[in-house]
Amino acid sequence: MPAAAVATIIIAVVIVVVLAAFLIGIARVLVDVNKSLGTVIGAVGTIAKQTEPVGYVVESIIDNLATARDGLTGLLVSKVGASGAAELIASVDPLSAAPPEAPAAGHRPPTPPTPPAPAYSAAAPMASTATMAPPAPAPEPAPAFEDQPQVIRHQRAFDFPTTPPSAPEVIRYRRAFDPTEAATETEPAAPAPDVAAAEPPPPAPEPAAPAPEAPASRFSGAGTSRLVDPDD
Amino acid sequence: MILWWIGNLVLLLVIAPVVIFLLRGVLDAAKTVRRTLNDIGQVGGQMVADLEPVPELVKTLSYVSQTTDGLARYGAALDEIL
Repeated sequence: MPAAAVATIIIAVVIVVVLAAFLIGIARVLVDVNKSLGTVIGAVGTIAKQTEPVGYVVESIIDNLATARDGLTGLLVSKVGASGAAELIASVDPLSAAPPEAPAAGHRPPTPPTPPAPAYSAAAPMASTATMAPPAPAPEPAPAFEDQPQVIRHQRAFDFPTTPPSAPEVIRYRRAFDPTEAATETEPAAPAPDVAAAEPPPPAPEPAAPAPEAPASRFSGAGTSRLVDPDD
Repeated sequence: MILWWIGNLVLLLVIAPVVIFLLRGVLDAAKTVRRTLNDIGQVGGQMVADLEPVPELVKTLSYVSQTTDGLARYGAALDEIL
């Protein structure tokens, strides 16, 4: 056998050995990939199973909340009117936009134009949003910090009603809506104790003066609502 | 005979390096796929851990339903009061 043939055989064997080594390594890597893919597929299946109830549950929650919102909004509109309801909502929600014009019943004073929101600064950390932006600094020297507490300045920025606390917003709106009702009822805060006293009273054999309106059974559940854990 | 030796040299110096180069590329690609799959597996495990509270939405739905009922009663009471 010539030497060239021997060299050819040796080279071929070496190449085959190297090929086998690489192919074995690739096969091992592919086996690991197969295992990893099995794990990933299992995890994806678990995720799909866990997120299965999200769709209808969120839709039901949205429907319930929309129903509650519509009911309360309808109640407000029926009692104080559309504009009054909007102003009442705006008066209790500082994030909502103020009504374009104050109604006749509302005693909201005209507000100066809101200055543009300044950039965030560490000196006013609570005024990071546009609606909570503090007013622009006055050119004259500012008074002492104790004279202008943060709360007062933010109330001015929110444009809270400046009526005295003895005149609640609800009573004023109700009088504006139905002026004849105010004459029949001398104490404006009378219904509040009825709601507070809506707890089931002990059986009284002789009712001294039963309330003509609002049966107590309608309010008995309002103050005692309690969330019940469905798992319990 | 000379051509045979030349063939041996070509096989040793050209064919073998090319084959090794190509196989090494395939092996590197396979290793990259394995690393990527390991990362995907870790992210999938974290997603499963993050999504564990999702079934609690059923309990949230029950709470919202009860709250809506309470709001309805409260609204009826307010309707009577106002």
